Amino acid sequence: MKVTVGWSHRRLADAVRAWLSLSILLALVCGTVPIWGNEYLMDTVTTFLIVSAMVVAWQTFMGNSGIVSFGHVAFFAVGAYLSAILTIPPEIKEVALPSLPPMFQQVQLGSIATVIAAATAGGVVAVAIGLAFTRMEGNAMGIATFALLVMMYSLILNWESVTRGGRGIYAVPCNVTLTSALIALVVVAGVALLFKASPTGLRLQASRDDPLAAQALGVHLMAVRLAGWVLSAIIMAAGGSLWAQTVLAFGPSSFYFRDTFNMLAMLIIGGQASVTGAVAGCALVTVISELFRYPERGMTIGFIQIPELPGLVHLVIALLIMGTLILRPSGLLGSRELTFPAWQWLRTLKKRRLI
Amino acid sequence: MQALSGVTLELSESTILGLIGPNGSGKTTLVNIITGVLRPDAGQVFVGDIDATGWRPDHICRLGVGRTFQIARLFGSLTVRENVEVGVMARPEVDVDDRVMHLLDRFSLTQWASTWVSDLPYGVERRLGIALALGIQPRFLLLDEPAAGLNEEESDQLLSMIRGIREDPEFRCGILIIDHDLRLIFRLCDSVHVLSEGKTIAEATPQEIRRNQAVIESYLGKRYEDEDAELR
Amino acid sequence: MTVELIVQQVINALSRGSLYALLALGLAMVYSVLGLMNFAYGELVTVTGYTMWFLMVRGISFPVAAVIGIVAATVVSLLTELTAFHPLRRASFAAILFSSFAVSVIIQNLIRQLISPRPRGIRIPAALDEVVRLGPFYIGVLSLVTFALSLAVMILLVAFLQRSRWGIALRAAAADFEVARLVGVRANRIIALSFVISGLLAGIGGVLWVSRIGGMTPSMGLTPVLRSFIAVVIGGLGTLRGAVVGGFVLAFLEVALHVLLPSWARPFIDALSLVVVVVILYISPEGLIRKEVEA
Repeated sequence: MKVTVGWSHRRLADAVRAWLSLSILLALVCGTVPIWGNEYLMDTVTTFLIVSAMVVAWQTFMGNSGIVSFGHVAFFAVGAYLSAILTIPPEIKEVALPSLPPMFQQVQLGSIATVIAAATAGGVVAVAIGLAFTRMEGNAMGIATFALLVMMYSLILNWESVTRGGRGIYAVPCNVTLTSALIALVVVAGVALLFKASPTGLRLQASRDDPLAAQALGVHLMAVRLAGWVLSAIIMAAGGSLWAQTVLAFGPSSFYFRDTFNMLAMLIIGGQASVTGAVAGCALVTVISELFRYPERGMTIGFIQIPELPGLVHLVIALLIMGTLILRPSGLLGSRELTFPAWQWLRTLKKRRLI
Repeated sequence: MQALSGVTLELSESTILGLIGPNGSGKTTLVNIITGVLRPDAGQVFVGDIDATGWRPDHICRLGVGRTFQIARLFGSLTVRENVEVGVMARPEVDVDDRVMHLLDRFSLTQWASTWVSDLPYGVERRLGIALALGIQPRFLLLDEPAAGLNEEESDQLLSMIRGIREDPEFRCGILIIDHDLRLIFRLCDSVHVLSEGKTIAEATPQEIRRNQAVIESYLGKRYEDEDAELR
Repeated sequence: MTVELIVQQVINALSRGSLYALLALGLAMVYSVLGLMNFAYGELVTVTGYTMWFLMVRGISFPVAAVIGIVAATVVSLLTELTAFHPLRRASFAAILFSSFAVSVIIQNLIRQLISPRPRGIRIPAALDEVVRLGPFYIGVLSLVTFALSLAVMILLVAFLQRSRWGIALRAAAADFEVARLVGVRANRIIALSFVISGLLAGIGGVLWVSRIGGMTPSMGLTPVLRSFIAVVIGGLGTLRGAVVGGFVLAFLEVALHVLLPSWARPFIDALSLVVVVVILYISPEGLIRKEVEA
């Protein structure tokens, strides 16, 4: 029984073009950020890049398989906590996490090694969970990921010796810069686009549209779903690792409903089936969050007094989601990826044998 | 309630076998069992020498069994080209793009290549369904009511398409056709298998079937007499 | 482990189970008719609680506030169907599921904005706070009331479902929506009815819930919906009877684990009951959607 399958060069070429377009756009936008000299802006953009990477990770599974996953923050958590343990200086670990096994107590890795470790851990956990989950029928798996979310949160909250429970982890060294975050997102986007164009990716998309017809064409449902699940988890954990090394201190509440909701919102609004959509959705939600953060605290515009409006940001985002689901369910970008008009123009020239 | 009982069907390469019978006689159930969608309580499915009884559908598919569905099942969010790619990608030894273009061409789908499946006219959908199944280069092709909803002219086109598949050296597959369009079946098939209420009541050449009293009584009835008059 | 202890715990479990069963019924009601696992269901409990608080700080008595709270939950439930779920009737399973998530966030934050963003306490009538002694056993009056009220409501519901025209139509729709429509059941009305009943059950359960806890926070809705969800899955994939059974099973499971497990393991009880859910989902051959068949 053969397992290897063939690539379509056409799809591959399209994916590379989309990747280049997206990367150039991101580089241009991020390149202007240091000019403003605003520390807050730099931090926000860096976080945006990393969160985008995680939303892309989420997209890799959800967009291609059509199975909703409520539990992906579990991999985010694995990446974040493992990275914290691996990068916090041993002196601090002695005080903050005294009951860690000696091997972890004494180690302190650099950022790249940590990210790789986190990604591997995410992959391993995903394989274990995925072997059970991907065997379920599509909708049942969606519900099971919800259980995963709650289970992981409960685990983090209570496994005090490793996570410090509700007190949270701190003193993670800052190893991530705007540039490294940008590179990370570019790499992640490349991997995601490559997967989408790959035979496995296409077959996963086929299984999303019609599992029975896909099987009739030789698609092994469990195998393709597992592939998407594990790849997505690996990227998610890597993103979590970078995130930990940017925010430097965090607690279990970052890995529960609020953040699940935020990231899913970005994915749904931007377009589940598109990598560019994931990034675009993240950008849009980030901008809106920043915009509405001010009225949330209450402010005065001229002589108009706006009272404190708690939860305004979330309310607006939730309304946006409902709007998207009702009016434009495939999201802003649907399944389209970014291509500059320049590429189309080049292609037309080639067709007409002018170049 | 038994859907099928004691039915034995044999399909060889480069033969076209017709499967007919009134609604509810178990035809689609039989196809579902052969392709692994349903598991038989008794009996076996062999593909060549291999006992594939109870195997998963995709597993059986990889032995070389392709099928279409009564209502065309296509991949709604993908383009026509991508739909064909799904099947073709299962054969690693070919150049995917070339093969896809070839198939699109063969089934007059090239103009639709970049169209979303949801925007296709009915006839194109059906052609695409067959093209998909052929993408995996099956040894055996099962067509579930390919002529449903087609008028006489379209049915003739379908006839020549299927004949073309049989005669084309690159496909070389055994074909099983389920349909109610007796005109199509009798003109196309080398042999016809008749099911009624889950049991085989006859298997023979089209001419013999037409003369078979049991078949006429249980199934063809008045409709046959009209059809037959038409055919003469 | 004395007999007394066991009986005491059984009493606890019965009371808790009846509340879970009541709440699970509300969730299962919508699920069995529509196939929607309504994530926003938990917010109905929050709505009940905060409505009661809002009224009680303005001097309204507990019983009246409770009734108004129940009405509020019912109204909100119906509203969510009319504004959010109705337009998404044809959407995919994932889309509807996610929309119920969004609706839950919307309701939660509206409560934060319009009523109060802070945790609040409420004072239940002294009578409910008392404890009754039956031989060696202590039973809180509230627990008794919870058990009795839940049972009464469930019996009434059963009567409604079996005797009244609408009830029978609802059961038919829950069993097979398409067939029910074919015999003339009005789809939208039945769906609306299921949301109304769901809201009613959430409201009554909500009154009991906040009385038990003695207060509320805007995010309190998570626990009831989680419990109801686990109960529904354990009890058998969305049937109404299953929800009741699941509610009691879950309560007994929780109480048993609480007693049997060492104290360091107790916080993991939540995670454990979810593992049970995952196992059930894994084993169940048809997944969660009974009406769709993948072949």
